[in-house]
Amino acid sequence: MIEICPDRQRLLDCEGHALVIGGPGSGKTTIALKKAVKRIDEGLAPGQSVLFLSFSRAAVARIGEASKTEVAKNQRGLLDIQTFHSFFWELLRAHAYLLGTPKRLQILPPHDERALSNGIKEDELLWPAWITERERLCREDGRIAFDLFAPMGAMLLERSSLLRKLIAQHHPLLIVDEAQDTNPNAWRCIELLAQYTNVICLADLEQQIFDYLPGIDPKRIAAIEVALNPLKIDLGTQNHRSPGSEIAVFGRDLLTGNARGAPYRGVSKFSYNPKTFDQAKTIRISLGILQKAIQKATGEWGRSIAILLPSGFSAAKVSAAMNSAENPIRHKLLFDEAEAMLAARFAAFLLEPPQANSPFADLGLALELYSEMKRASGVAEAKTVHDWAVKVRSGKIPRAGFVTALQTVLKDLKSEPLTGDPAKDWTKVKKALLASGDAKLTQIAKHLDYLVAFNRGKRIGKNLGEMWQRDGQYTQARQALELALIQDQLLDGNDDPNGVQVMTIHKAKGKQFDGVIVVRECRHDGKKYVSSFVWRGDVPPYYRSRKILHVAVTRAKVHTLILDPVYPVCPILGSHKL
Amino acid sequence: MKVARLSISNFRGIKSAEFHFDGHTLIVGANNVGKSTICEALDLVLGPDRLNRFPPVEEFDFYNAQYLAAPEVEGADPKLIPIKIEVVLIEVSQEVENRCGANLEFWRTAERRILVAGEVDAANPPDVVKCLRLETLARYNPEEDEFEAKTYFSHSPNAEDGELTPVPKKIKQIFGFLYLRALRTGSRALSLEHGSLLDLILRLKGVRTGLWEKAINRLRNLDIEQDAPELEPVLKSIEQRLARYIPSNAANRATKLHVSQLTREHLRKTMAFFLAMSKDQSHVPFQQAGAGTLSTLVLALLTFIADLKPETVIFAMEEPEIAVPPHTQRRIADYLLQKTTQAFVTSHSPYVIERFEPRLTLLLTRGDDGVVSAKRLSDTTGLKDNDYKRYARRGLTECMLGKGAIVVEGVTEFHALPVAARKMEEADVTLQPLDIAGVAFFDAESDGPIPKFGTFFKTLGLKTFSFYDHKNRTPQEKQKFTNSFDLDCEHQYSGFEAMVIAEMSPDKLWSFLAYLKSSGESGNVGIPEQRPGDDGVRAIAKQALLSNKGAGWAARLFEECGVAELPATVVGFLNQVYGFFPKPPDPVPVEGNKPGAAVAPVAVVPIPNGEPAV
Repeated sequence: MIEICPDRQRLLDCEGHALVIGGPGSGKTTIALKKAVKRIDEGLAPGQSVLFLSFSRAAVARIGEASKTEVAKNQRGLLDIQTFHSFFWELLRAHAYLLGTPKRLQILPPHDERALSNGIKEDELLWPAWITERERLCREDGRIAFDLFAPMGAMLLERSSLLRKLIAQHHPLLIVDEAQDTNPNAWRCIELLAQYTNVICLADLEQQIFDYLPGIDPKRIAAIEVALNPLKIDLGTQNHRSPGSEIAVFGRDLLTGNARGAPYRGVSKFSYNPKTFDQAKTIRISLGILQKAIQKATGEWGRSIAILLPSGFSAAKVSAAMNSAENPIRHKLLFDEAEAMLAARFAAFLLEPPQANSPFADLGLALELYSEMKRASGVAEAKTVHDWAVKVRSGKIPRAGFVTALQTVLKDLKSEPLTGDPAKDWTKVKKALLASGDAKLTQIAKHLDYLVAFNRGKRIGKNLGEMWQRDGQYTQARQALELALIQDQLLDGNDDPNGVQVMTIHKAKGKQFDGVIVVRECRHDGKKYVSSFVWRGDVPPYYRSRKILHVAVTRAKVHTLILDPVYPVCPILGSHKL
Repeated sequence: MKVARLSISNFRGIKSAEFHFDGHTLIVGANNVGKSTICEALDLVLGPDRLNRFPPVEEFDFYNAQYLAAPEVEGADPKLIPIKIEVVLIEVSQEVENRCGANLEFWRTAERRILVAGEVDAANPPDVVKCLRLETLARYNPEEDEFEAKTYFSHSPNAEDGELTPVPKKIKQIFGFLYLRALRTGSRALSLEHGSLLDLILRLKGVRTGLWEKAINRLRNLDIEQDAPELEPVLKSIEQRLARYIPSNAANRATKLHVSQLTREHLRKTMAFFLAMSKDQSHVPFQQAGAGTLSTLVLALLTFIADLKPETVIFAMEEPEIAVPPHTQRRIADYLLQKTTQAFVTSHSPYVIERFEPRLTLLLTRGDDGVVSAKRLSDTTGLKDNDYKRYARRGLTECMLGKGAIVVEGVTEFHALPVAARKMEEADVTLQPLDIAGVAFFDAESDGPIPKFGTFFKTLGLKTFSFYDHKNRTPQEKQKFTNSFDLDCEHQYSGFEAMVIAEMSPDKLWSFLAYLKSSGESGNVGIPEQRPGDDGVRAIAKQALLSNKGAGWAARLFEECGVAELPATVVGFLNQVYGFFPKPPDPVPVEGNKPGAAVAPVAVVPIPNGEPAV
């Protein structure tokens, strides 16, 4: 328990807006929750609640966990913890028609957005055309992409004072987590609401991990101060997350580039040879070292461990290695969903009963689905495959290896009937894809692994099972899949689970674990070997990379282990003696 | 919270109607025009207990009892015709705003409509306010062979496609809608049924009655047999017989009589409020108390509720005047105007009507097509609020609810003309009596205001007639009169009294004057012993009629006359009025006991309101 120091007491007593600055583990969330409880105790009108806004579902889950300790059971209903997205979604669903959209709205999920936009990125030539189309989808079809949530929300609040007051009346206290990372539209909404309700911003100056995303302004904190004229509380760098350790100190030194030349308590490294190492074995050994360190420091084994990688691809690779080892290492993989979902759609199609009418209808459709999948990451390949599909439908079979392999897979699946056990049949499809020998198809199979890691397998299995019971076949397997997946989109994907989790550093933002393994990789950029700790495009003194590394390192409560390749030397880490 | 707009479709006598309300509303109009229907419609949408009834609606709640339409194609399913009632609420309480935020919409006060797509910039004060739109849909469910009704939020963004979110009872309770029907006022108020006044009071005071459980328990434990000792041997012998067929393992007696089976609903309905109104009476159940006592009791409960200060009270009350004296009527009307958020009142009583400004009074009319519309009294031109209030009890309210109005300029005409009319009706049965035709007299008190009253009645749809003295008027002034009246009669004399003495026989005048003298009523008027000459008689008669008792005397003078002796101008005028309201043909008499004769149906003909019959 954190004693209420004078600073914190000032926050509790404060009647107007406030800005709480503090490093990771400094107790911002705890004191914010105490403030929320105080406000609830002061009495809320019927229907009112305190709103706590954060960025990710994970953060919402973490705050939810914390609230179980800080907030009495009968008061929890009066504390509304949401992501910005879900807050905007509620607002838009009810009132977006005022902006000219149809009254019935649907979310355009990221994977469908990527498919429709052909995975186009902001710096590409066709981006403005996509922006126009995105807006048309919203205005005419009522399908709203995530990126439009904040701008539309801001427009509604900007132009209707009745709506501003309505929201403010609903929430007499508004707490904004990670305020330094709010995008301009989200911030505009807070600013507008601040005229009618109390706002408390929680911020960490060093955590601006997302300042490479458009619109995240490193000067946000200054803007907050100007707009709110708040009571400013600096909780400093007391790190209560890892009280006995010097993880926070190490983190700071990484930021400032100040290597103290001696080891830090709670931080260590383990070296490996990138050329010769066995991934799974190395991980296993590292886990052992980490747990021993935790045991030594706290007297108990660590319950939650994270392995942090620089990219989704690395995370997938590591996870795959851990799975395919002789003794697989149990873990959960947190991964980017969109491509996985599209792959799953493809696999689901393979489960569906063949279309009776035309012999090549299935092949054509399979090619079309694949093309759609590929549109999400780049135009060229998608078009090629699409042209193949057109050819097939007109009766001609292109001679491309991919088409042949796909035909074989379809034939194989038809030859042996499905069993009706979704898990077995799904595995069958996966095996058929792996056995095809075609690189594209095996990649799909790999993506399917990631899907299972999300624990949506159960839900998918249930939907498929019901379908089989009803029809004797997986008539609409794709639909069953969509249903199971969409349910998770905005909802609390809850579980701050224990055990080992593998994820990218970005996915770790806002989370905390007993122990963390930060993996440094040896990369080749075409000319020479580079350290994965240096972010693409970053230049000395590597401010951005340092911030990201700082986040990674400070996720641990008790101990951080850096998995360090013997080459190349890392410009950020190099000078430290761990 | 207030109701701003009410739309009704296919409900009872109303095929379709749309009403806009501006706070308290008094609804007046002929019987059967739809006044109670409005209140019932509000209850269906806002009343928390109304839809609990089973069935919530029935055949005759649908317009023309039509809830199914023949299918277009032979053999297809018949189409369902629903009842739809929509209410727009404004000034919604904060609690409802917080709980139903997603269902709120925006209301343009001046244009009286909801904001639609794209109008975000308008969603700002002062022209636009927040509103909540609710609708009750009632229809026949052929699969269940039942009628169903439910209230929904018209704006349901969180519901499934094509569906609407139902309004929870708890939210309806926050609206605070209360409906006291004209009949059975007593039990509506004083039983403990859901929605009664007493129930509402208990709820507002937070009394959660464990009353029911305890009462039921006590009744169950009541040992009936204690009071009926002769029961025991009978029950015992029944048991013995039973035992021959069915062995019973009961420790004691196997059979017992209980006041069992009582449910909360039974208790709610049968527990009654007992009153003892005077010292010698013992308490009697309220249903036995006089209707007037009940109505006053209702008033007492209403003031109680007002003092509990619930956040909102929307009160619909039919005919508060029933069985209560004028001062109580006034107090009830004042309570409704001052202590409720919004009151809907229907009334025929001038004492109630006069408490409501013309701005708050709606006159309902019904068209042949089942469309009911409302005219706001303040929209009728000519009458200021002050005038309205002053004249309300002086016949204005009686006239405005009728079919025709005869506007006169003084109290003499006001008393005398009706007597003349009655004389004429008694002498000639082919005349439709004015009372039955719905024609009333109105005293404008002087000639100046006559046109504005004429305009007032005319815009309300009445046939208007005027009868006044000759005076030099400019053509524009005269035009005002002729414009306002269907029949504008300026008689040629400079005064009513002048007309009387000119057109009635001096003998008749003298016999009346002599009578006045002999009965000692002549007062200041000097009436000689001997009959003077004709001119002398006329002079004295004029003096008498102009005196302070003249108004009553004119009427009594007419009373003594036969129709032929009445002033010709008066008779001529009234005959024209009768012409506007011809008597409908007599019903065909039923044939006597002739065997085999068909019984002719009684002709029912609507009273025509048209041009005078030629």
